[in-house]
Amino acid sequence: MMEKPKSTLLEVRDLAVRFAGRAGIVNAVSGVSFDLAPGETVALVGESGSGKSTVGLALMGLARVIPPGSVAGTVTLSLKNGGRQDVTKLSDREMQKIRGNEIAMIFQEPMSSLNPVHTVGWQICEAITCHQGVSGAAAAATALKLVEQLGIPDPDRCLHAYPHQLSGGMRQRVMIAIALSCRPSLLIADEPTTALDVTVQAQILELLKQVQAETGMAILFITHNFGVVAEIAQRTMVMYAGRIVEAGPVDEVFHAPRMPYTRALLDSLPRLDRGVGTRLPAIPGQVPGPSALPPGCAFHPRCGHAVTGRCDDAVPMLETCSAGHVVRCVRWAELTGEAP
Amino acid sequence: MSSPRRIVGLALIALILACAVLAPWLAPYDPLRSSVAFLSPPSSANWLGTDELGRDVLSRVIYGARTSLVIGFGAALVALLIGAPVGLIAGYTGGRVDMVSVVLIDLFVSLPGLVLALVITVMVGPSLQNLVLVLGFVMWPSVARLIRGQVLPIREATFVEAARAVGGSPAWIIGQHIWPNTMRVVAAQFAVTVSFAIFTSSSLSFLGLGIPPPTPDWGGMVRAGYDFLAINPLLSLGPGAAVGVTVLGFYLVGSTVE
Amino acid sequence: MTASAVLEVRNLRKWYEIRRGVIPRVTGHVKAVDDVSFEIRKNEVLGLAGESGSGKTTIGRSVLRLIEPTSGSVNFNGAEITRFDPAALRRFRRSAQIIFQDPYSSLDPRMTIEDIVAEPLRVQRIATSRETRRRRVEDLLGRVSITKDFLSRRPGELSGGQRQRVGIARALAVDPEFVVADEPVASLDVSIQAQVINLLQDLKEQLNLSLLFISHDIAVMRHVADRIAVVYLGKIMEIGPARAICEAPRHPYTEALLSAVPNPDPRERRQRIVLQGDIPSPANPPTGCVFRTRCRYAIAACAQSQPQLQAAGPGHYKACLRDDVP
Repeated sequence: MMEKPKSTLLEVRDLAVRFAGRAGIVNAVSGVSFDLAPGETVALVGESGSGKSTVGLALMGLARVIPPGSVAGTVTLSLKNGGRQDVTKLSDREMQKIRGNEIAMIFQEPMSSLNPVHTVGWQICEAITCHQGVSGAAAAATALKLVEQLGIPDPDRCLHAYPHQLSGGMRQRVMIAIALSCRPSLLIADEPTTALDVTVQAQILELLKQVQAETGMAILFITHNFGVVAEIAQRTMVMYAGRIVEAGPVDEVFHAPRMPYTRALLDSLPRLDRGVGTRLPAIPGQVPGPSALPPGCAFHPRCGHAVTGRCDDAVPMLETCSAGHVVRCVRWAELTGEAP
Repeated sequence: MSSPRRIVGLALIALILACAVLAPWLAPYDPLRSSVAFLSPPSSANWLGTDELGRDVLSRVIYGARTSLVIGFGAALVALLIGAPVGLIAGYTGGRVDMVSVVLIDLFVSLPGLVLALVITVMVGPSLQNLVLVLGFVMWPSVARLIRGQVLPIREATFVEAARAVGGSPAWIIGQHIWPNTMRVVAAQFAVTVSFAIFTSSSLSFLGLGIPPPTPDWGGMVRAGYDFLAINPLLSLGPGAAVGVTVLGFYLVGSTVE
Repeated sequence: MTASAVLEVRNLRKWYEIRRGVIPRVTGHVKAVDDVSFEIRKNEVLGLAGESGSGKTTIGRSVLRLIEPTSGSVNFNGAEITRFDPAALRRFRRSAQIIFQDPYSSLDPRMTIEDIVAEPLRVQRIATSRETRRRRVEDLLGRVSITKDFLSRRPGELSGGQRQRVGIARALAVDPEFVVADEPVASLDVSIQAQVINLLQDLKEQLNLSLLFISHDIAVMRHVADRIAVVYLGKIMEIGPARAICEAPRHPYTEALLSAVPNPDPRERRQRIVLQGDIPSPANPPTGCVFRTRCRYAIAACAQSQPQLQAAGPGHYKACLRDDVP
């Protein structure tokens, strides 16, 4: 288990999300446990099918499961009023008080999260009215101030615009404004910059860092982009096929990865500081679909270090390899010290 | 996964199809054979009674399935043969060709089908052949419109651009890529078109513009039975129910095609 | 024209008309591509880097005449393709092909893999018998590491990476000498990207291809390209050898673009250049230098005239008035 930060904002224990698919039960997320301290940024990184987005949705109570699917585990949140609540036990109605107020979420595609028939200002005010009980002029004033603080150019015009009249970067800033309108203690950002140009992405990441510095909000940043992780997070958790396979401080995970998947993935990334025309060490095979997971370690068919009998037997447990750094690999100790 | 609706629809169509194909074996009497026992009530000899010429109503209903299915399928086919090329070419080519086609289609679609069919049948005279052609002619615009609507998004698909990139001509692209991707929708609409044709032809027959006697035809039978409703309502209800069952069957199947 | 140039593009323009009013009149133009010139030599990879609205995708389509250029010249092996009639255009398509970005929509979902890869052979009347076609398809799929049992499957049964490889096999079916790769790895999982990048590099070597590699990911491009052209709002800002562009850019936009790319190295704490504002609309580009509204080095003269490409080193050109930046 990871080291418990001094005061924990979010405690997730054994989160598991199972969907009822046509071919049977699909384990989208299994055995995910982690802590989040106030004010820190943790990145949840993985490829498609890793379950990272499902984790984000489950934390918000938005993972739609119909029986026999289920959401299991506990998600204990420290509320703004001082209490602690396991949000998985809440009804949807009770969860509505949490969403936006205690935990907010922003998504990849702001165009589908924003209502096209209402102005942007209306939508920001909607969030404010919902949670803070003020309305009309008071809400509008708060919205304007928020939009100014986020450095949106021409704030008044922006508030009166419709989503389709704004650029992708602007829409994402509006999403952030809505998310922040009630000063949540946790922001879940699900691939917020994936659909944006790289120069706009840089702006949004700067904005998030600035906002976090000002409000002390914690951020759970979900992404597949390791560059972004290095840019914005202090700790990171790598997911593969529904499980956390490595987690720890960003510096350690990037420079001393213990999980063969993490190491192979980092090695295969094209980077600006690599030579031109060098051959990338690619990981063979493809990511397994959640309904066709291999036995034992989900990565072993693609792993250059897999050992029959050990890696394909049972799912490895998370072991601590150094302070705050855990890894899900039976061979991590042997492989450390080997030349990468 | 067959939905209950589709299963019911298929069962009904099977029933009507059986009537059409197996009529000589299913029908207790020759439908054209008149007798002196006219307008007799339902009995063990004639389950639905006899009509004004002493012919067995049940046999006429069963044989009537043939006429209806021929008209239904025939008209739907004519509509497809005209509507599909128009929809495909208008949708794919765009520009002026499309604009003209859309105006034409909208014009026809806005006219009530039954009235149009009526007017034309009066002009050309009722016969099985004419009926099939007229109904097909009345229905082709809605087929064309549906297909054109399907073509528009497919035309923008990257795999169509890929076909252009390898040098495919418009004819090649329409034949190889556009048409196969619209077929699912076309199949669904076909069933609905058949039911519409049967219903409309029955309405025309009811109005006296259908198949000339003595061929058993449901619409005509309903009309003829109108004068004798007090004596034996089954003269109209029998064929009327048959129309309802057929239309329902095709509609259920058409609306559940995935 | 350089002796070994396969493709030479001069003053390429693609302007889309904007029509307004009840009786539509042309009120303006979206200048998707505005006066672009470059060349690609034999067996060379030219990378086209840019963000949204840059026009890079339109350039890629225009040089193949999948989109009709508004004006300008596209010269392929000495022939002016903008003047080709339909028959000549169809023959041209045997020599120049395209790999699309989206492996999900670029394959017809109702066709089998065999039919998809065989289609170019049928359209171009290569390998006229079913047998010879099948053998060629198997050969092509083998080159991209797709086994024979995939022949009868449909795209829906394949993963994204596999579909992209089928798309590559299809592009190579006619044995082209020039291929436009439009963001070929952007839609793929990170662990698959390296596989496909390696594959493209291998194929380029084996088949002596010339490639126009379009990408928004300059790190990927660094890997694959010999030369890079940086595009912004329909114009080329800078063009030169890949190493020079990535290590010593001479245009403020290139500098900002490189700076914005997040590097997967948490220890590297470089000062990021964060551009202000959004990319202007191509329907209403700034006067003079199109980048000046976001450029930290802009001076008054930048609004006066559009800078032409000037030499900044061997084979290296930039479109900037100032010589002292970045």
